[in-house]
Amino acid sequence: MTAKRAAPRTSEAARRSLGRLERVLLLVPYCVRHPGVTISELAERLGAPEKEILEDLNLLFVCGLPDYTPADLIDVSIEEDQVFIRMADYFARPLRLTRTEAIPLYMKAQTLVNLLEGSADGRSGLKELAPLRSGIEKLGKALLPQEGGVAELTKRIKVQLESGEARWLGQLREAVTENRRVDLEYYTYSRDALTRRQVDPHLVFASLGHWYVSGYCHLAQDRRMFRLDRMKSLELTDEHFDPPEDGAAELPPPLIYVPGPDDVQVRLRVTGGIAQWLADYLPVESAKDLRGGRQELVFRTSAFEWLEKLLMRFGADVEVLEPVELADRMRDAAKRILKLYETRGRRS
Amino acid sequence: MRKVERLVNLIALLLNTRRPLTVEEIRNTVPGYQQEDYASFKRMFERDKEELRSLGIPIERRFTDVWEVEEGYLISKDRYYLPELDLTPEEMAALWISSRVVVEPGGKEDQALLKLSLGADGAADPTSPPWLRARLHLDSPALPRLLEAVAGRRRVRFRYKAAGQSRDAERTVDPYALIHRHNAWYLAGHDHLRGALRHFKLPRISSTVSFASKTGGPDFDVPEGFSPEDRSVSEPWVGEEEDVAVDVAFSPRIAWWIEQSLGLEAKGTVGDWSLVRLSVADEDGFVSWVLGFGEDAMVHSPDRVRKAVVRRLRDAARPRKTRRAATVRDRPKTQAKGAR
Repeated sequence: MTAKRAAPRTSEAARRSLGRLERVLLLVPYCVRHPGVTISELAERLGAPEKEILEDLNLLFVCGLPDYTPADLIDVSIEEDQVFIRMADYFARPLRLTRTEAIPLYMKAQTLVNLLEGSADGRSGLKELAPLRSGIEKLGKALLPQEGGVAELTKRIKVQLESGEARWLGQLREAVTENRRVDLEYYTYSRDALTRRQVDPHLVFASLGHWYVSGYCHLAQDRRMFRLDRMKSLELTDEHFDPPEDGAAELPPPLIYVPGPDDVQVRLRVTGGIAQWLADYLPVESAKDLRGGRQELVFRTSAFEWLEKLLMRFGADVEVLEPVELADRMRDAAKRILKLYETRGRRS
Repeated sequence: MRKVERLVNLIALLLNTRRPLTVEEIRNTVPGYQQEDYASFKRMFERDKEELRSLGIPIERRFTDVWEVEEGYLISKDRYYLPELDLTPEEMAALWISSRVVVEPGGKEDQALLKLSLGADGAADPTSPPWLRARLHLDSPALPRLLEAVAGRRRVRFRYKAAGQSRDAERTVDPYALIHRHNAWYLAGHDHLRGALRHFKLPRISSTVSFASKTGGPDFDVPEGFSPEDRSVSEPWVGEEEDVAVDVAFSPRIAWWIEQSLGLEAKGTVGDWSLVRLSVADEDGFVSWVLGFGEDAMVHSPDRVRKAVVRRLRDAARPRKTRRAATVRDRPKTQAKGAR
């Protein structure tokens, strides 16, 4: 066998030295603009260990302009941890943004614009929205003209929230930053119940197409997450709470399914298209192809009220094979809704 | 002389020269080029040049004088230096915040922000607001290449496993936009296989994404009327067919939620239930959606949709055996004929 493999365009060593060069081209303007900056600040800003920053500075001792006499070389001096770079005015301004730098920035900035626009407060002014928009606009000038397509990204990236306009962002921001307890009327979909709760909000976040707030719930006496669109009302109280000390204010891990002690195995037989759709919503453990493009899905849950509503949407396209109780429940639910149509009827 | 030093000196030289410098001049000036024989110097210089360009350093090749006999190299200051953007401290802060709020690393955005904060006077404080975060699957493997393709209007190829299909197939797509909804990224673009606009869900892309042309693009124009919001499908029953007005009654328990999240106002009441008018294109999808509210929603009018709901419910309420029998009867067509 003569398997030919194309040589990689840049070797590992070349990539390392280019990475170092990129950092040097940032470090020099930074030092020129901030005379006396400390090594530790440079390390933090540039995201590199202090040892490497020192190595970067050391290599500059032999860099400069022809004829490379001491009078032509970049002058680096480190005095008690403070860095001064002189004779490098031509590096006082950084290189333009490259597309690999600009693309992720556009991506993140435009994403946040979309998220804030998708909030009822967005229009009435979450204060970051306007400067973010004008900042993105100015970014276009940081690119070379032929990279114009990158600036177009603002029109070509769209983040949509499922739950429509988010309410309460402004109030929750105030509550989180001022450590104020809030009073909620909250609709728990999985238990189909509207409850009143006092919550110490720690963090607001967008995930899985919805806005959430995480915090300590005094009703549950534990940490909980609440979807903003399921809050019927929200009021800030005058009660202040101690800010969480541990990682409680950090973003919770992605909402993945955590098995509980009451979980039961559920087996469904569903048509192909719906199988794909359901797989996005259910913690599917296994999927088996059946005849006629159908699939058998297996997962575990105890949230039957929620599942019943979800499955009710599909009528005969979903067949509950196991447990029998769930199949019975669904039939009963269908009967109850039918009764609604028969008794309430249409009076108009 | 190590490589990084050599490259810094090469950049400094080309950035400071007033006229293009010939290869020989560069060889005689920049430390690190002299000791090689000419052929290996030339290879080294070509590689250096290519690598610097890959970092975005605009090395240009120009004639050294009006006689256009000899060519040389320089770096144009206009093209190298980041122009003054006059970013206000608020703008700078908002950009920093966006990179912190969205938690997944997108790539080199921090390096970009550092450059920008150098350009703006007074460094912005790269701290994030402690109250807000977003998680948006930026770590999705196909995303960087597709962003690049959307930005440069590059035609792409990838293998894709469509919903309900058991096998993947190769698709060639002109990528118009990237849309995040229903918990995943979608690519909107012209699908050459179907000859129409299609939406591709990124997790269903089953291969790496490659550019279809070697030219560097742009390979196509985005049609003028296109907007990523065209299919802002927030509910499954919003479609492209003609709309039907459907009145739905919602129980007081969830009426507030409907009004808040769909931005709809009640047009009347039926008893203590609120009556809301919805514009529906995909009736099947709509029936599913309404049934998801269980006993808290009821289609009021028109009769046709009401009957569709009732039909679906009767089917679901039927004891299991009858339903099985119905499936068997439907299955083999020939048998059904024979039975008739």
